Amino acid sequence: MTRLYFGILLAGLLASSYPTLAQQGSPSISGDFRNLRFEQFAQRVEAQTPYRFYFNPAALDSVTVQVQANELPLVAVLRQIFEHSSLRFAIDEATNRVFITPEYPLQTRLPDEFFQAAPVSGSPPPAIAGGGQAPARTGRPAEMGTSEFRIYEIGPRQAAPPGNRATITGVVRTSKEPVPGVAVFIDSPNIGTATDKEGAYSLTLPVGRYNLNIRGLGIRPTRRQIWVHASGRLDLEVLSDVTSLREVVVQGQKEGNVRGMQMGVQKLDIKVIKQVPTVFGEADILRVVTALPGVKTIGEGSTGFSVRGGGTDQNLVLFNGATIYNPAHLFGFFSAFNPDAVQSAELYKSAIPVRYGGRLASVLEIEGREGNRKKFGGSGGIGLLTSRLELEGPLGPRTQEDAPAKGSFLVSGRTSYSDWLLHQVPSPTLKNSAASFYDLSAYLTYDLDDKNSLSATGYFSHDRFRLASDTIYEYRNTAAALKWKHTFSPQLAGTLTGTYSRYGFNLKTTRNEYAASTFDYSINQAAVQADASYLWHAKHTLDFGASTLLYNTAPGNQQPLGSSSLLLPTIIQHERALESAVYAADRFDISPRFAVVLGLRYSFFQALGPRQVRDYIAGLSRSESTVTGTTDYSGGQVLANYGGPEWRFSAKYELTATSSVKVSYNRTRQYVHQLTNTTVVSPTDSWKLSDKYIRPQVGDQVALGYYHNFKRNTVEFSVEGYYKRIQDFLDYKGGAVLLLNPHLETDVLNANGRAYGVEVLLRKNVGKINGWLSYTYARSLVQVNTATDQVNGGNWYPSNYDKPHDVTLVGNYRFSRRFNTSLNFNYSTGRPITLPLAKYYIDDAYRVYYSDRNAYRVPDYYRVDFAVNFESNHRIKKLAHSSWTVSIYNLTGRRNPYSVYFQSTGGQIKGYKLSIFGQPIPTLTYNFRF
Amino acid sequence: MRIAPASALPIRLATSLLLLALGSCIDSYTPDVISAPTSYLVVDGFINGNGATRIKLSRTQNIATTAAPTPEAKATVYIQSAAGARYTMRERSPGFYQSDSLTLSPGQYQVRISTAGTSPATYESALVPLKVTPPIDNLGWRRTDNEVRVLLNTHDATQQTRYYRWKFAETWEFNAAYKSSLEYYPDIDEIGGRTTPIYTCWRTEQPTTIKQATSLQLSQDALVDHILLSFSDRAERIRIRYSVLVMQYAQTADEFAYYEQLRKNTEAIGTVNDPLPVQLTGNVHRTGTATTEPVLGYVGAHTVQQQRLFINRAELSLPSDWAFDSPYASCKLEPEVLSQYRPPLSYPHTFTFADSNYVPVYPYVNPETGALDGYYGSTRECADCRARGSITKPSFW
Repeated sequence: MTRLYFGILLAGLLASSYPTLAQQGSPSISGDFRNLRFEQFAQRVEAQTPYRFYFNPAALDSVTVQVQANELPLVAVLRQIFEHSSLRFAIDEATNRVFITPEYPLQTRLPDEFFQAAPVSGSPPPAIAGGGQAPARTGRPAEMGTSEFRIYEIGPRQAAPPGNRATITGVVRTSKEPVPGVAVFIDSPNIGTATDKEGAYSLTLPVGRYNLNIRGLGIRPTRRQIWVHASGRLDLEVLSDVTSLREVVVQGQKEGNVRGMQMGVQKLDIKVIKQVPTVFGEADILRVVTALPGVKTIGEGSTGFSVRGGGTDQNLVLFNGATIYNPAHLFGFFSAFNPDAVQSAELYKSAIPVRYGGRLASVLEIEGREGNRKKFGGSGGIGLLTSRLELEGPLGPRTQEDAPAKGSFLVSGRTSYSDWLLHQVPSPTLKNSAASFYDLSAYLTYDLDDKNSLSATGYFSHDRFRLASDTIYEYRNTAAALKWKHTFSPQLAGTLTGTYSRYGFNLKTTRNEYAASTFDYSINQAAVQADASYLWHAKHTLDFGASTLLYNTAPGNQQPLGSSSLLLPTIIQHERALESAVYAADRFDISPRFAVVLGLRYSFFQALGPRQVRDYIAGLSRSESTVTGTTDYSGGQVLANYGGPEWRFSAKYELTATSSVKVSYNRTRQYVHQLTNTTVVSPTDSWKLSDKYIRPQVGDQVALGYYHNFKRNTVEFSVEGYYKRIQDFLDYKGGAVLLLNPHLETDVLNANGRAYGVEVLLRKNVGKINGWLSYTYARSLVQVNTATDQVNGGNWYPSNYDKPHDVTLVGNYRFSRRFNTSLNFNYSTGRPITLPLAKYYIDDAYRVYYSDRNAYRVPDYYRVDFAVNFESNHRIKKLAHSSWTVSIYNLTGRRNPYSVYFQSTGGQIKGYKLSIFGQPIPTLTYNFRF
Repeated sequence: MRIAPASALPIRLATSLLLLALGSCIDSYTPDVISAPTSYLVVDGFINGNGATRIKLSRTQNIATTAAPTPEAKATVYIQSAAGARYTMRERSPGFYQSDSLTLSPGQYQVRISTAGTSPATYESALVPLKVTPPIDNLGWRRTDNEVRVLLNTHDATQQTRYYRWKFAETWEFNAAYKSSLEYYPDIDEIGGRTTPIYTCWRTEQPTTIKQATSLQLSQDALVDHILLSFSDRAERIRIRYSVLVMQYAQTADEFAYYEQLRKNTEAIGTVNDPLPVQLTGNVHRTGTATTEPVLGYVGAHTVQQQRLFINRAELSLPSDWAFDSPYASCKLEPEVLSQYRPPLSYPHTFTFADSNYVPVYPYVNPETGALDGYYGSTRECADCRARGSITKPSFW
């Protein structure tokens, strides 16, 4: 591509071989310049005027000036001087520079007409001197803000005196799509920003001329010459880094680690996600997220994860803003997101931005990838168990054939064919089994004009399995989001988002026709959220908004199946509730080194009727025997009210240009609870809304971190410590019944938790070797000690996620552009388990007496994975780009215990440990893109 | 009231099957941290409302121990009713206490225990209502999906029972692999004609699984064609004749929950999404001192109903060449040819069959000489059905 630009420049030079008159109003020249060498002439003109001359003295030593001038413009004077010589001149009126060159004049800038789109609003045509007003002849029109070699003027010239400040805004985009996370900055003074998710930037500068640098992930580093007169708009089209196929992993602003306000945030680009080896060869977002410091899982085969000691239900998983309740397929062996439809994933572990709420521990925001706005294309992959396909292209009218369209679409789908694997197994039960899933997603974007853009997302996933040959399980996620982004002014931009999410599962049992049944569960939520960002002062950025969310759950509906079923239909009362919030946060840059964000989110929750609520004797453990009566609430009547402030505070102090200290405090509230009494997330885990007896969970976290960048910001280092307190999360009485229980309050307990830890991360994002190495020390403890119920005698005990030591290495080494290898290493302390302490003989068999809950641990976990990626050749013109990935999961074949259990078989008690992937698992995947 | 979701087990089973398909493995594992500090009292039994009550007292053991459980001998045990009646239980054998055959009137009952020894202590179970078990209406069977299923029907018109538990004793007739016509007589060290029959035996098994169900979700307190047991239709147990004795107990919700938890703790675990095991004790506690000493066991009170089912081979209408699963797949007959011994023996003695692990089956006649030259025989497992059962025909057969 670079070559192409040189071509344009050369064509422009050839096209303008004659100098033209300068603009009126430029300084004029008077005096007798006869018999002067050109150098002397230049010195005298420089003394009279602001012009400065640039020439090669050797080329001009034969020139003798024979000119007398009286109030003549410089153009006229120079034209006389060089009338009969082969020398040419060029005057850049913008900077008052004069260039003398042999044969051809220097082109100080490209003529405006050279480009078909006027990139600069509100400014007169900038001066062109020396060069001719050459019409475009190269045939290839360029786009807005495309050239490094011209000056873009913003605002009417002389609109503001020097010293004033102006704000320029715009969108950085490639030919395909806006580019988020790109650094846009000037060197002197050091002012910069990064583009937001829609690629928009806003920069406030003193008026004047600058080189505007643009650097970021997946784009070629470039700069634009700008001349800022007043506030205005400048969209910047940049080249995507075609040659490296986006393999350079640059995480947003290079200095973001040190200079950004965020702490406890990890952003993963899809490219990073794709190079991490996975068990079935398919890029898996959630699997990579769980390799980040502070994120723990129970083990393989479970996508439920715990962030900094929180529960699996305390993570808000958003896909383009819409909540996804169960982000897993096939018992968690696959994540529910098609890697081709994803741009990036961002995980907030602390300092959760004020616009997010409703979950205690973290926010995982998955951004869909925007389709190509210029041409149709697609990509896909073929693996052992799944295949996927994605298609994208422009949408809507275009101003010109090659210009980006106003909108784009991207649709993707993925399906499994795991049945063949089950049928390979010599087991009659499995031969009669089936397990399948698919997911679909669509993402449309459309720019109505330069102030309004719309985007729409649709997502659907479906899982169905029948493994014990008599019960069919199905579950579905549905999500939709509609986003309208409006720019009121360069300082004020807003987004209105409407989302809808639904999760449901159902079971069908037919083994005994007299007890055949169906069971259905569903939760759905509809939400509206308005967000705005207002740059009301050079030092203040205000984010504010409001949201409201209506939940509807159908907690259980069991119906007889078939006419001979004796089963009594059971329907658990539906639940409705409204969760609303208003919020505002101000980022205050107190000094260039010290900045704070002060935020408050006020959330409130109303459980709504119609519902019948039981009353219990106060002060006793709630159970069947302590019921005193029931209270009826009519439709819309509020039966429980909760709410309160959620503080979000963070501060950053830069110690040096490459190191900083940050601190944050966060309070979060959660009004929905996942009901699960297994250690991992299972498809039959349902969600319960807070009600009269089940209080919302409240979490507080303080965090302190030190950040340091080395090697010109290519190596990031951070240490973060945190302390967290969680109140009122759900724990269960022994033998609790979670499905079809009309009075869950009798089976649940309110537990308190605390977690603390230190996370050390060393991350390198660029270069042949990239990846990260992290060490985490983290504790997560639980206490159930209410007046009526206790677990472990009311003492603190380790939670299921308490794995104190964790070392993770995610590394990639690029041998060449076509060949790279990845290596994962993971070590962690074994997770806590409850062990049998003694055995005893009762009811004709040996039984086990267990220890206190989670009093012991399984052996330590250790795993190495390895992958090799081959890319086919990089010719731009070919039918499809393809790549092969060969990976080996669990290279050493270590049998990591997933669970340890004791079973009474034939009257004897034997201990077993179950390893899910107890041997190396090789896979081969073929990926293509067209 | 606590009921386990019926769906929980299949999904766990399913997940583990899937995992097996994916390359998971299960190894045996014994952590070394397990050494119980003390041993706790274990109370096993129930108060029988219509018959003799049998209670076994023992102590918990270390997990790794292979010895039999230590009985708690010389304790004083009696049944106490809420109304004040007391029924003494006598120690029949160490740790085994039995009452007279009693017919208890409705009411609440408990068991009280005073242990002897160096640190005597008193214990009692919680007072529980005596549940009257409804009779088994019908016990039948059906052959479907390559399985023989034992089906039970029962109901309680008063809608009082709701929670049911069963125990079984399965008995079946079977044969050895070979019918032996010879027997070794050790007193004379000779082989002669067989006098002890070892071809046909009866085997009795008491499954240790906890089997219970509730009719709570049904419109009537009735279980219709409830599957109690199922086994393959090629199982050896139906080759000749099969019988099962089913004992039915009515339970309280609390007892049901205890057994459900006991079942989960010991039987329904070992897969990916297990429920957390629970530190389960029961309804017995120590009295007198304020102590947290755990006592293991649940003493319920109920009457017992039982019924026996027979399944004859002929009723199954199986083809005559039906291939049953056989434990004798590796059995073979081998000759002991005495004339091969040097020097040749003058008298057809035996070396092999003097060993009780081998059984002579029939004589070996030398094809060349036509003389009795030795014996065909097999191992005890193949030729002697007593290796797996008893030759005594049960009284009910």
